[in-house]
Amino acid sequence: MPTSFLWGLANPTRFMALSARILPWMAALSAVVTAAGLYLALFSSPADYQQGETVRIMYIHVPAAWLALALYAIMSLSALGTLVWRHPLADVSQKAAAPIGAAFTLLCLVTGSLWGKPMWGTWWVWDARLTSVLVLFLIYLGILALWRAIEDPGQAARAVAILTLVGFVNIPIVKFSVDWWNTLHQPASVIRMDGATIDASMLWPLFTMAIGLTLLALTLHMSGMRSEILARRARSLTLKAADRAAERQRPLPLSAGSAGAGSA
Amino acid sequence: MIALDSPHIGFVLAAYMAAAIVIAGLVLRAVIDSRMRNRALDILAARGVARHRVPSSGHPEGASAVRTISDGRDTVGSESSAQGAGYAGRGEGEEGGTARSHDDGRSDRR
Amino acid sequence: MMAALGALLVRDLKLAARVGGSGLLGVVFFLMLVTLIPFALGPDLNLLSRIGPAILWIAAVLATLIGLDRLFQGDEEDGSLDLMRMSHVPLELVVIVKGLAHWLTTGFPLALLSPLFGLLLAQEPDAMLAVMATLMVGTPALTFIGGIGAALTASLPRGGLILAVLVLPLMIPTLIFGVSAAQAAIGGTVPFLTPFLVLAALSLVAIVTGAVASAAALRGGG
Repeated sequence: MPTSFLWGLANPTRFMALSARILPWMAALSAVVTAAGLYLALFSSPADYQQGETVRIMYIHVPAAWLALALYAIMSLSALGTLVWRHPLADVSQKAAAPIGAAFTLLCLVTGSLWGKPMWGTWWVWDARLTSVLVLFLIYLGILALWRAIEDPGQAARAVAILTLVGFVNIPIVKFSVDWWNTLHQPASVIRMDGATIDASMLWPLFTMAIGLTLLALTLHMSGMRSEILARRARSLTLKAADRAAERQRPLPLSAGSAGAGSA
Repeated sequence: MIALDSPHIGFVLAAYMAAAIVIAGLVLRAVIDSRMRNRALDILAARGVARHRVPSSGHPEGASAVRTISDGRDTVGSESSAQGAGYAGRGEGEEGGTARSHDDGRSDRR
Repeated sequence: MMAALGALLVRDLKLAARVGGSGLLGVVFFLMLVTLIPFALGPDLNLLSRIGPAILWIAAVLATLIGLDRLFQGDEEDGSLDLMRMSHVPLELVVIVKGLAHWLTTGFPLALLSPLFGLLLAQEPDAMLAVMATLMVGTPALTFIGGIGAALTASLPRGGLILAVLVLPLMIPTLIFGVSAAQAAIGGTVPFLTPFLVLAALSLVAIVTGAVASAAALRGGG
């Protein structure tokens, strides 16, 4: 028991110290790489002969889609950390990843729609991939809603962890069924991206943007974890202060036991 | 080089604007959030430190008893991570607060 | 152990049947939805017969949601959930039995009566049978997926809305294959059995994951 307590105590401490040192560097690095990616994407890469300038939307759309999935993977890993290993940072990591993932999923949907209007002639197509991402977004919203619904952070973390893992099991099923549904209702004429091989002149901006935005997402995740740790610290200090205040108002012999029981 | 006279340029620019808005929103949220957390902790610390400095006329025994009881509960109970995080980086905030926060942690355990 | 589970099943069915229980309210709600949709779409019988299976399935999804928020909440409030947690019967089995009781009072009568509602939507006899079969096989998936949400929100005072937000995205595959199988029976390129068997598989998966996840959620006090 003492080791587990120390483990719980030491890890966030070390994390706070380490992250405080790393965070500015990561922020700077992600800014530099993203800026380079933007330069490549907007200025030094050619327009596609078929899609014209709209191909440049891909340099945001594809990294956003990748991050939508990657952050869900981070959440699922953290959920395992919460439920199985009871790692004290896992709750925090889960909570910090959710809004970032939801934001990138939304960005993926918006840019996909902006690409679809000139290419497909409509803002939204019930295309298999778009629809799967929409369902992913709905799952993200559910997770965010559950975080807001339960007040106690530990209890909320366990509930969200279960939901996240159920979603993790469900996402491939959703993908499969949406694909199936899509082939059943074959859309009339839709320009597909799959066939086209990507030229190196487009691969580089895509790659750079993906790395830049991934670094950005990791920076935001780390910063979110720091905020959440501070928030929990404030919460526990407030609770302790309230305990102490309550204890002061009680007669002496009762104080220890009742305050201890009340601290839950 | 992006051609600004292309027919669909509006959509491209809108996509990049959307990305800028979403990312700016995320960054702004992160910055404001950490500011607010730090300020809240500063306020708490100010109150807490004041309480430490003035040796309370009451009962130090009772206080330490409360501490050990709640610690014992927390290792088992759900709050362990929250409490761990809570005790963890006290006085950190700035760079180089590591050593101090370790000391704090130890004195908390005692 | 079987005796305990049987007693639990009987208790839940009795609770549903008594005053204050949700009873067959799900079926009534189902009827309301089926009545409502033609008012929005217009009384075009051709259109209704074409989209009838879809209407019936959507109504089934919503009707399942209605009673779900009380699946564990009542037991959480009066403390019987604590007894179930402490008993020697695995919580997973308890969840399955409670889900079964919920299905027997919601999904099962709904599937049984669906041909009747199919008449309102100008369904052919083939289509009615197909919808009935898919609902019979598919509604357990809805109940057990929804059960996860019910377990997660058991201790929340206002769980109803958030329950729907949590579980509806997870019900999409069931909806897709349920409607596909029903449509396939009326006509189309796909044989009926393909989506129907996938639907059955989804139900089995939902029962297992639903039992494990709901039990985990209930143990955590979430």
